[in-house]
Amino acid sequence: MLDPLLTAAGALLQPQNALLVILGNLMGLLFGLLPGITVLAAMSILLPFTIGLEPISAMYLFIGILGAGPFGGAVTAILFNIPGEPTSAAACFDGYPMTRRGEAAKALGLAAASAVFSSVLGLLVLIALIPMVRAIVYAFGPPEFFMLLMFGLATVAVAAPGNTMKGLVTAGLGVLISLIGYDPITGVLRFGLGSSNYLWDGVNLPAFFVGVFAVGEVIGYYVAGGTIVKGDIRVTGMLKGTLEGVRELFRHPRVFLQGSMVGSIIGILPGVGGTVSNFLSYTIAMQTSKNPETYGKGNPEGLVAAMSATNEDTGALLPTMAFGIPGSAGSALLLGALILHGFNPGPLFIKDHLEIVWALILGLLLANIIATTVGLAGANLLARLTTIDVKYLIPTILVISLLGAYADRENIWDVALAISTGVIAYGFTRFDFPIVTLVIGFVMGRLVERAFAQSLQMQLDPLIFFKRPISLLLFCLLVLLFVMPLVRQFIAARRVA
Amino acid sequence: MTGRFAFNLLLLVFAAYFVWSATNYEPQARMIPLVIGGFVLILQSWVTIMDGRTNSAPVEHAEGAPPADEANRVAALTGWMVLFFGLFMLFGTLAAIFLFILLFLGLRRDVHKWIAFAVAGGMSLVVWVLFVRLMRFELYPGVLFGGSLPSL
Repeated sequence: MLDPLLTAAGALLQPQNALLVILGNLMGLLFGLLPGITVLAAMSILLPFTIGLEPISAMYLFIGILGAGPFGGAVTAILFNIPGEPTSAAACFDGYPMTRRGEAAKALGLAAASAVFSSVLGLLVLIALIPMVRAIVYAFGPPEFFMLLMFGLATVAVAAPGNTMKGLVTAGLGVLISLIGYDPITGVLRFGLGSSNYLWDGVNLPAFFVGVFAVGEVIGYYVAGGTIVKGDIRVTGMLKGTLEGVRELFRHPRVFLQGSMVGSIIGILPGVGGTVSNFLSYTIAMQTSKNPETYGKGNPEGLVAAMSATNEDTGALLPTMAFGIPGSAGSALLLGALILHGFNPGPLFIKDHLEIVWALILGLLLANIIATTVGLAGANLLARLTTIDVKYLIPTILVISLLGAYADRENIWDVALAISTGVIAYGFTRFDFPIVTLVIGFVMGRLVERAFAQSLQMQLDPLIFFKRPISLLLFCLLVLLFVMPLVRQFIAARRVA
Repeated sequence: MTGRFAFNLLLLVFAAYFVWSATNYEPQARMIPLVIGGFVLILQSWVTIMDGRTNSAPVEHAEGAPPADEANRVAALTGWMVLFFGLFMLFGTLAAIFLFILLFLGLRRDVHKWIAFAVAGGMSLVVWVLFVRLMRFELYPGVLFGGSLPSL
């Protein structure tokens, strides 16, 4: 156990490998900052160039990129309400209102601290879970997954900020939009809107996100004018604000631990990914908060919930290495890199190449520390961007965002999709329909339907969801979600009486 | 007809389209869309009625009242974005970025022409260095320069 750890640590101390982590990290931050372009693009670009490297060095480069993604993606989410990565989308909900209050530096500091500490916690969970990974992965079949997603959707419905009825409408619309495209069960194209090719794979997620967050927001800038920081609020005390943000994290230990656990567990489950984990963590935090009505209005707790669940890549390392089953898109690329370098991830991999496992763990730890350091150092400068007149920001943000929508699939119609989605998203915001529920419905919708169909394929019995202990437990929690507010109301009414 | 009512109607039509389309699919493919679509249709009908009732009362917004010419501003920016899409499609990525920023800023009275030119040129250069040189990304060349339009 100790020898492979020392081998990995020794390799990390070599200047070449340390530089590779830093290089990967900077690339991850850069790609994370660009809306619509994910760190996966950076990994894909670099994959062929790593063939000449030692396997352990190649892993350090890749893990450097992965480690930088969460914070890189959160920067634009917090400053401009435009997530750089889909996995940081939930950071918009409270991070951006904090920016509008002149607390950009604090929000960035809080996001950076949440990302790094949750990653460290995720790594500890990863190390602890190595002996139990098989049991965990096998315990989560389609029925459990379905109930987990239903639980996530239900939390949104119950705790939607603002008008609950409108929250339910947008959540439903999000689910419906997610169903557009090829139906994996029957093979038909549903809701094609006259398209026979473009919508086959469904509504493109990066283009949809660019539309909802970037274009919708830019329309808001254009209508309001001025600067992002509103009114007489001055962006002051940058360094103080950043450190205040780091300190703020320690005021929300429960939400932080909860989010980190959600991120780690979702990471372990193959095919779910970080987009689900940060929304799920956010909704659970909102539901369990004493002040759910403050979520979406710049509550630091919401930002902690969103950012602490971005550690899913640490959890995703586990099934990737132990079974060769990637838990996320990032770990799928990492799996490709491992195979390219002659490894066969699976049960024997952890036994035979423990030094690579440790290299990935140590590399991810270092990558997170570097990303946070760079982030905290740059928070001052980045926060100043919010004081620039929006007339300069509008065209620059628009072209970069729309280019990001195009870049994912190199399909020009994705630009048109982002524009039209953005105009409708502005309408949602303007007429008090919560965007948060729309996005969560969209992210989880198709997964819900697929898990439901797979569950019934396993056993043609609708009661399958109640016959399996974890699924049943999740169902009980779901029921509790609806009952809890009623109990609270009852208690409050009794207190008043 | 107010903007709020029109938007509510748009959402109703959207939900109705899903329900109507779903009825044509096989039972397995239509089950979830029908349930969710029907649910949204009912809720949105309720929201439309309730919003219609409170329409006469002014709606308070956390960030102050929207400007009187809000609809014109939204239409104007939508027009700008359609223009960007047209430029992108015809002339390709780099030319579209340069022309769009130049026109957007250059046509404003409160921005000096040279600043508009500098921002447009600077942004195009950043995109070229980042995407073409560093990422080796293939930018769209534009229909006029050999680019093809993917089928819809």
